[in-house]
Amino acid sequence: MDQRIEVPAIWDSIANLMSFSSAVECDWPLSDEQKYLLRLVIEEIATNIIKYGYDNRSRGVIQIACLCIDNVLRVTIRDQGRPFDPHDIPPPDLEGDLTSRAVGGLGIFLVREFSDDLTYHHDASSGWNELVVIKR
Amino acid sequence: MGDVLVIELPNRLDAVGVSAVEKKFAEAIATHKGQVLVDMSNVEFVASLALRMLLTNHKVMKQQGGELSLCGLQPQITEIFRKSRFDTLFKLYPDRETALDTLGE
Repeated sequence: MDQRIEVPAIWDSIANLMSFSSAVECDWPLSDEQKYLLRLVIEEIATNIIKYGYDNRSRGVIQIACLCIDNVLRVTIRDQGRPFDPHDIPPPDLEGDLTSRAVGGLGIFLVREFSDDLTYHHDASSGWNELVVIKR
Repeated sequence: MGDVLVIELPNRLDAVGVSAVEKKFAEAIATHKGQVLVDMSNVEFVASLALRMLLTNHKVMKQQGGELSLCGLQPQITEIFRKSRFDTLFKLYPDRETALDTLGE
């Protein structure tokens, strides 16, 4: 059975999403890597949707559903904001010393690095974006 | 030489954890001259916001002529640092004792 939550796409929802992540961790026998990825995906993708996905005129929702079958964790994140395929983001520049290194731009990179599979789909007729992240 | 300011961070440096500590963190650093040691031994989770906070403060310290070092990284945090190449930007120590021995010299 899956576990799901829907929250308004606003900063105040992040605390609820983190509690949801904790609840999922408690209910399922996830590995340490799966627990970490779950929290990472929820935080990075949700903050991204809140920051960039919805502009000020449309305040939409974020839906998250988690499923764990045969020890494979599947996290699905849906929103109706601006289409955003994480694969389109160029990898961050990790070279450079303290002075030249950019302070941000690592969120999507970390999600990509720590997940086993990441698929994105935008449904043009309904406007829903769906990101599915798999961790074995 | 001089005082080493030790800052201990909480176990979850997610967006909620970061917003709870970032102001205090920045204030402590703004008024401290010299070395800062961030004790990460309680930290079980970091995401990009936490990395941003650490790097921003590290840059501030450097501009002030000091340095920000980290100690006590747990295995998963070490992995995040390795992948993001943050391990090349910070001095990392296994634990607080080792760090203070070195920094206090």
